[in-house]
Amino acid sequence: MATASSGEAGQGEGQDHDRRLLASSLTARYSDWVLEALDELPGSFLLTDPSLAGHPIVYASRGLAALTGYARREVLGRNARVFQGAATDRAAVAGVREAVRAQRAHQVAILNYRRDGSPHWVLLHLAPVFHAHDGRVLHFLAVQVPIAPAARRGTQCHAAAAALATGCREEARVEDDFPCASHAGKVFVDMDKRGLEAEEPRVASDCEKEKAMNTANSILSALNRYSKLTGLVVCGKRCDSFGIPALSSSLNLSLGRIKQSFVLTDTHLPDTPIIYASEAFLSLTGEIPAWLFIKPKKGYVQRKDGSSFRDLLHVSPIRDASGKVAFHIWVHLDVGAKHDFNGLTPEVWQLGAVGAVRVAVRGLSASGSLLRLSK
Amino acid sequence: MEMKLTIRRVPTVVSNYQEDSPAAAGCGKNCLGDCCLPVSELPLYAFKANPAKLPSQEDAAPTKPLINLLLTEWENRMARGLFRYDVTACETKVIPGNLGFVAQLNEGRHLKKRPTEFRVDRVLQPFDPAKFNFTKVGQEEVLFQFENGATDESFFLESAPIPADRAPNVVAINVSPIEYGHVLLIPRVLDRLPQRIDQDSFLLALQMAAEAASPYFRLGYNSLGAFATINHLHFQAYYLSVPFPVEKAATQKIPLAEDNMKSGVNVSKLINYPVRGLVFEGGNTLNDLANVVSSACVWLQDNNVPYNVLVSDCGRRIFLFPQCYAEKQALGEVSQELLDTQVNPAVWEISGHIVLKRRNDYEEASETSAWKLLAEVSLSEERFEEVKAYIFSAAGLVQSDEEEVSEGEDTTYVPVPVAPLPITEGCLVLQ
Repeated sequence: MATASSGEAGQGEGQDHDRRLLASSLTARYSDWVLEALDELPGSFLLTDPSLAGHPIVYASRGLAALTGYARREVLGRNARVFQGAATDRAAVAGVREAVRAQRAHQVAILNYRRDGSPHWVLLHLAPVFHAHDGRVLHFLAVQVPIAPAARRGTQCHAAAAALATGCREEARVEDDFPCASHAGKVFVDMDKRGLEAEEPRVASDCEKEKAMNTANSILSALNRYSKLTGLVVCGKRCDSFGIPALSSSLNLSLGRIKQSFVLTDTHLPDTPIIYASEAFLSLTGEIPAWLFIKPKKGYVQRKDGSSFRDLLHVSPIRDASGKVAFHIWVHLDVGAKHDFNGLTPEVWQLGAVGAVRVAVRGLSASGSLLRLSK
Repeated sequence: MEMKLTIRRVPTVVSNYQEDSPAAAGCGKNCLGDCCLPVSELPLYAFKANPAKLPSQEDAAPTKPLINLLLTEWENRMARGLFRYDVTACETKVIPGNLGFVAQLNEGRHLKKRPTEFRVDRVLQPFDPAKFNFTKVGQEEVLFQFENGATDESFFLESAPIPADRAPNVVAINVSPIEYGHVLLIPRVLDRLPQRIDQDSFLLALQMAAEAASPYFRLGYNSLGAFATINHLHFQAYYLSVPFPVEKAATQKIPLAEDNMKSGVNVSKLINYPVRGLVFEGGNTLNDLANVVSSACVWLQDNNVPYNVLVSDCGRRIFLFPQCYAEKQALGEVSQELLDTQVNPAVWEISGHIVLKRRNDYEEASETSAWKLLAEVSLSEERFEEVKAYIFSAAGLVQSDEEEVSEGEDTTYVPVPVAPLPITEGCLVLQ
């Protein structure tokens, strides 16, 4: 179905190659500990990679077998439509496909099929995992929560929901205004089928929806925690526009002591505008050209006076005390100029600015004095 | 017949090499063992020779070379992916209240590994080379050697050979950090000393605090039985630009007899704080302070009383906490509710920085709940007074005969600042 095609002859090799490809989908972006962390999460969920041929499943949770009857290794490499079957509502499937194409979150009650062919209703909660910096979709997460028949609901569900986390961080939140497709009246059911397939489509209860949301948020938290620390940050939402925050005087004071040439940009604003530029930076470039900050660039930078310099650039996300990315720091270095690096290499010396900003932002943020506008 | 008291807990992974099976000799892994280290070079930070007098006020100069270097190298290791998780992605907050406990939600610190048995009734145990120790860490986890430069200015060398005549002190990263900049100070790593304080090692810790010259860079020590899990001499340190609750707690000075003024060390008792402890300050030299505190620690070790030590305020204030939580846990005297939080009250927790595993605990964290947890750690008043008397005797301190002064005079209460503290030294300038 979904794995990259392999001819008859090279089948063994091809399979190994595919397996490595699937495994590297996660481990290339997150540290190896992420698998353990995901393994600890309850519930049935998948991670899929839209950049691989066939949009295959690259991770399946421990809870998958209990819900669907499929062992985890059986679904790796296959497309998630493996769970659908004859009586699955085509409109629901189309909704999912559309959400994937548009890279937005989606929640729908859908009739799935277990490995043994038996149908069951699940609430499918789909959400894209964005690279926070350049906005591309790295993975989709898909959570499956069984929908109990109306009679069986009540205390059990409530207790389960109460046991789950309720706090959500903006970065890890999945968009909550997704269309919930309740397809009453639009289901094309073959009246010859019996049982579940013939009954009215189920509607997920609030606590089932909440359970799905919480699982999705836990997954995003885990991915963020274990993202390879080379600047990768993931979030569940593309940048929205907010007002430009004013930095507190304490933060300005702390930043003012950092000697490197750097700027801070605000992640959440379109075109990631600069909200702070160090003295050293201003004397380095003479001005703040907007184009400089759309993409990371290593290369020649032109000064206001027309001269240029070769720039060694380091970019990193900076989180505040809530764990969310608040800014990005861009540290520049004129490679040609003379500097005292205190015995360090230039690349390492630049990191001093990053560390300094991290501790300032985290500490001030924990005390509630990061921004002039209160949260 | 001796009965062993043990508790089971999941040890924190502090090195990426901790879980490997013990390496054979000549491991080729670039570790710190005799097989690799003697022929290698490591960066070296040489701190200023012991100042004759402790700086009375914080230095006006904003440059803090040790902290700058430490944060730079730490960030470098972050970029290289050596840490198990990004600690800055862990939510943290100051809990509203008088003391301002700092709570952190860190779900990734302890993965569900099999818990190990730890003996909690022996504070001194012999070094066991078969168990994980810091000679097994990778050299990339070491930031620099930390030695006395014996000159007036501190200096840094990117690469310096390991001294032939004595074991180097090293600063290494903790791959499961509690906060940004979390490192381990390992005195004389190749001498394979067990976890026990002596005067030299304690002085080194004070020297590091003084050299860092930042009130937000603290060092801590946990004895065996007080939640140290690695029996190889080490201190921990990290940077957090928020005051610790214990640093804000009220203290009452203990009047000392005249001739005790020689060393210049003052001792106070913590009051209105959930854990009973002593605060040592002053001293004519860093040596004097190190002398007094390490003598107290040695007595505690020799008499099997587990304890934790916090070095704060650039090495000017030392907090000493004898504790008994592990013993209570082993005897089944701790409530299940507290056990479920899985908080092991070591030096950072006792000081007021509490790392929580479960979101519920974090969302509901309050000064009351923190107090309740820490109160279980403290020795009883009676036992504390008993231990205090022994400590005084061991450290050569004599409590004066003066009546206990009533709360008015000597009680120092640091008022909780209404506005956040201005960060006068906070950020860090590289020359």
